Amino acid sequence: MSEKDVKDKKTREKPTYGAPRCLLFTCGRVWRYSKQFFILIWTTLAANLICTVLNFYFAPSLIGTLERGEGIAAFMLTLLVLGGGQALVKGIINYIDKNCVSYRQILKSRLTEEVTEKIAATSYPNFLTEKFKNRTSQAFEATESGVINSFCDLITYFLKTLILFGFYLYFLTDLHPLLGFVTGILSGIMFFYNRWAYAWGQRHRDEESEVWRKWDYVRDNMVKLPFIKELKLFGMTGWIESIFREVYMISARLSVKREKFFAWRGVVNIITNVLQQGFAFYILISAAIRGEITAARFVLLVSAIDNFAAQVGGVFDSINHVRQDCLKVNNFMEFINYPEPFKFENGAPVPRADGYEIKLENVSYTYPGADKKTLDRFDITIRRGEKLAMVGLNGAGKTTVVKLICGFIDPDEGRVLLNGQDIRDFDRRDYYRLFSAVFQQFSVIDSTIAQNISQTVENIDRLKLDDCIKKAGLEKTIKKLPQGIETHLGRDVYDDGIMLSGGQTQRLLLARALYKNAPILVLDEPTAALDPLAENDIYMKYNAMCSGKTSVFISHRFASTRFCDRVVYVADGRAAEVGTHDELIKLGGGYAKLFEVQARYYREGDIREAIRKEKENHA
Amino acid sequence: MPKKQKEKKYEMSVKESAQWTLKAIKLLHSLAPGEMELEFANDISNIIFNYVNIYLMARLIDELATRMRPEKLVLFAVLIIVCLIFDQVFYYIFFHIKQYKGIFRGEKKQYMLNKKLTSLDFADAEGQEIRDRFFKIKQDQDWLNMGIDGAYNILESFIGGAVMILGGVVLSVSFFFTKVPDGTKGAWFLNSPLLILAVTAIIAIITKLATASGIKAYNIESRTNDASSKMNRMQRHTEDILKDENRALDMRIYDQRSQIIAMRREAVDHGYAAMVKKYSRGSAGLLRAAQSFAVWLPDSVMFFAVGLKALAGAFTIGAVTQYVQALTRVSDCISEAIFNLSNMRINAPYIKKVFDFMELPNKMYQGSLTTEKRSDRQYDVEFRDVSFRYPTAKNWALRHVNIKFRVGTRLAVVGENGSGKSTFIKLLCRLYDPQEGEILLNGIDIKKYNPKDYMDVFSVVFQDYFLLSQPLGENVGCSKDYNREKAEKCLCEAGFGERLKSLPDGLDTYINKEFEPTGVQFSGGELQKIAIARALYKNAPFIILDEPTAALDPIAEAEIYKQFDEITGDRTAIYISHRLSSCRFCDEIAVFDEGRIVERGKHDELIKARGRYKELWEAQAGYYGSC
Repeated sequence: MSEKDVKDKKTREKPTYGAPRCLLFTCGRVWRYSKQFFILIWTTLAANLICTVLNFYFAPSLIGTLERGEGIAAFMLTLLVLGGGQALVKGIINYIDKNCVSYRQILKSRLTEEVTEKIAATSYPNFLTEKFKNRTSQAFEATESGVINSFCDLITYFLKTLILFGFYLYFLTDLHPLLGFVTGILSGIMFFYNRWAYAWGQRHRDEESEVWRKWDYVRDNMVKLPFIKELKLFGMTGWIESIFREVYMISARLSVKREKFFAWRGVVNIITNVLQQGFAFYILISAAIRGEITAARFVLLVSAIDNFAAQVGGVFDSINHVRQDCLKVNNFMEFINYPEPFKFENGAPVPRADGYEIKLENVSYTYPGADKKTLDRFDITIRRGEKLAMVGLNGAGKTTVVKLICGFIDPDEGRVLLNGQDIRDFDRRDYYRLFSAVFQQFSVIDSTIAQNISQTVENIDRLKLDDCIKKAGLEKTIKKLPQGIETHLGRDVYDDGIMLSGGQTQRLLLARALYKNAPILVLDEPTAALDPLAENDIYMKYNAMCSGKTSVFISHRFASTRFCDRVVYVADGRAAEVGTHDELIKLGGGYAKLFEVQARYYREGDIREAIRKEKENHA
Repeated sequence: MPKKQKEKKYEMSVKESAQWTLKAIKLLHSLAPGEMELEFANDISNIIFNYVNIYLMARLIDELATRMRPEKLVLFAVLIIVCLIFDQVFYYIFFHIKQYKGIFRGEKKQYMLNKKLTSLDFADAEGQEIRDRFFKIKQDQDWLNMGIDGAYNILESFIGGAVMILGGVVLSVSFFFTKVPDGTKGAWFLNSPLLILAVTAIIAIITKLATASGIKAYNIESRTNDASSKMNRMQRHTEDILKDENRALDMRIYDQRSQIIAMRREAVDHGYAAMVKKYSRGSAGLLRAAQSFAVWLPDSVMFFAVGLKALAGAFTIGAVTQYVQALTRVSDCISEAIFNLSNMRINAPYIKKVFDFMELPNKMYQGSLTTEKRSDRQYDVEFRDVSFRYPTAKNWALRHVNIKFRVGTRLAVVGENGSGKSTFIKLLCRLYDPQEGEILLNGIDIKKYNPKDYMDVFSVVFQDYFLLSQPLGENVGCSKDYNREKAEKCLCEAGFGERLKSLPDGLDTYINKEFEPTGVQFSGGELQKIAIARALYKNAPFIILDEPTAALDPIAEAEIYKQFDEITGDRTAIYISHRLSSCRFCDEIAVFDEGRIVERGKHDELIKARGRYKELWEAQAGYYGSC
């Protein structure tokens, strides 16, 4: 454990932005996004201070009037001012607090939008790095509370405790110069001891987070439908129960360790507490015996000592809080300023042309952390208006080629050229506008069908939308839905959302590609989960769609090769064979073999006999 | 408030809600025995020492205000410190033991709910309504903080409150009976029970007003619950989307970011935040302010009453502090009790939801016949005019299906997506019961068998097979203690032998890293083989393969085809696929279309028949024919 701690400390980077810069940044953001919130927080500070002071004087003043026998009028006046005033200010504070809720939400929303902008547009290779992923989570966490809290903590916590610290210190020092000092030191010891104990707990959180990770895994997975199915068929109840027990036992073991450790905290706290109270009483009682303080003043001082002790910890604690908040602000700032390897606003606009040719010129690419090149001097030109099919085994590098073509990743060596110009020079976002694409992994958002096809919320071209739906063969599905194209998809957000089947999703993606109607079409295995008729149908539709467009079809099945102008057979990270289907079959290379493997099952003759014979030969 | 009541189906009575709360408490107690007792012990000791402290302080103040005897002052100061020590010692002891006793309470509860869901009939467990109920329970707990766990706090506040009131009354009872000297102005009032009545009445009214405005404010605020839950769901969904590497491509090509931002603004700015803003500016905000104003008044009233009597000379200053503090605690407790009473009524329906879920029945008939263990694997299964419809669907998923499995043969089941192939398998394994017709095993309706026994007849590799991130061997044996040799043998038969040898931890290798970071990430094809090994380990007379090759490339697919004979052995095998190539090595083919078996026979026969099969065949074979 401790080894890991050391390692953790070493690998933890120093924050780029110091606390003052973070606080300045956060104040600026609050002021920019919600001036009301900015002002209300300062008001809360003032009100809180007033309230604390009223409360502090409340009981001692009343006792004082009684002690001095000042009569009913003085008593009533004190009661009204201090008691009534306190209640009134509390009411005001509560009202402000309630009103801050919505401003806080809006503020958070604006900050999240900044993160959204960054994450949705950042250069794709960033996505492949662990560092960026961690930063993303940190940035979201920061918007959740950190950034706003740094502002609130600074004012309503740090400033408040600092002012009150001074206020009570003045009181105690007035009675005895040592009183404030000793109380302060002992509170300081207690505070730092507790913080140390807390830090110990934090360090052991790694162990505990393992428990939570395991528990989350069991909790979430055992209710998934595919699992329930297997649980019933394979009688796994006992197994899952024992996994749960196992996680529970780890947790119980850690708990014993933790509670044993924290029991010591009790001992230290009791000792310092007793010393503190003992010393305070010693000073107070001896002063009283000397006749220096009255009963009312005694009450006031007792409460001042308690409050002061709380402020000592409070001051350190608030500094710590603000510092923690600032780390989060730093994470946020680092994230939105995360370096971009691609050009965006600073890149050249993509020249408009009638058609586009894409050339991969001796391209090599290795995924970060991989020890083997995924693509090795891959060379292919996709001609203007050409339909190109790309086939190969899983892991041959087809999807990587697609990512290069679409400009998601840049090659380590070689270039990707659009009409002869290196795409690295372009504004990448503008470059993406050239593509209508369907990838193996897609993103359907939990919103309406119409929004998912048009990819906008407003200004949906209804005629075009209807046309695309019809062309994609989605019309029948939508007609059956009571809310038609306004039907919500998915159940993460809307309870009335529907789940589309694999085939329906494919048609939705097709409709979306049609709606975008971009000059280059890229399809990466869109039909893996479809039955033969649907597969055929979708291919026909894409075929119709891509007339005149530069298109790339990727599949490990051969459906696509039939209507494509040329075929590339990808193997070992290279464009191993290029030509028409017939040419490649004649060539008798890898493509022909792959074709044969699949085709044999569709030919006449006893296939089982053939397999048996093959095996015998093999043996 | 009346509006809110109308929205709810019914308001629970105090008695009923108390019953549900009690039930919840019993459950919590059984989940973490001892935790509750320690928590209460802690509360009670804390309250007692608190009162002792108040009493001693009052005496000390009295001494200060009157005779100032040093030895008394010292005595009281020492006693106060001793009291502090006891208080803290008890606190830390109780607290740490309680923490230990309480670990995993919430998780045990969730696990109990999970187990319930998995134990329901499959048709129910997969039904949207039941699943929504299941997830709603968790949502209510996480986001509204309503449900079983709430009962704990309610009980705690009642018990703590009772002790607190008792102690407060003991310390303040002398206040009411100490008389103001006769002849003082207003002595008749101060000495009569009227004072008590007046104070109690004023405080009761203030408390009532505070509670009422609190409840009213809560009701107004809870109108935002829907908007808030929508906002939370939206935020979580969009965050997931954005973080999801798999969505990153579409995100860029289709510029989904503006859509996401617009959706969020709709849910936050125009939804939740707008509503909260409206309410907090107006009614709810003012009510909350009034509530917090009122909550701070009883102290003053108490001081007023005690002060009046003290001014008239009834008792000392020390007593004033004692009475004020004791009475304040009593009044706080009463208002908290009122508040918690309403809390209990709000929370009880959520508790009821949990228990209603826990008491959902299993509707499938469960027979008790045992299946004969036959070494010759002579199990005859027959579908007789079977029809099945999903609970919420209008159309039949299967209609008038008749089929008899011939022992030891290989049946290919083909058809388009949604033609009923998977439903057919689920009925066969008795994940569902048919609405019409019957399924027979050796001539007896399968409902009459013990379900576990019946399921032992089948091994299935589902299309969406599910392996847990647990040791490889356990996944094959479906248990912590499995037969290692057998598991190894099955993995070899499934074609995983080579890979197994390459794993340093062998059968103890964790699959994937989700549970154990040292786990190994296997490829789709490898995982499939493990799933097949699991089916083999079960060693059932029937083996069913549901689309085993959908995710595989042609080479891997061909490998599975080649091994098919070894995998099935002398078992009765059913092979489902929409890749018709699979039909070539099966003895018989059944073609499904819109829930019916439209054709049956051998490949050659069906091609000749020129029916649905030929159509499907040509759609696929076409790619390969013309070379």
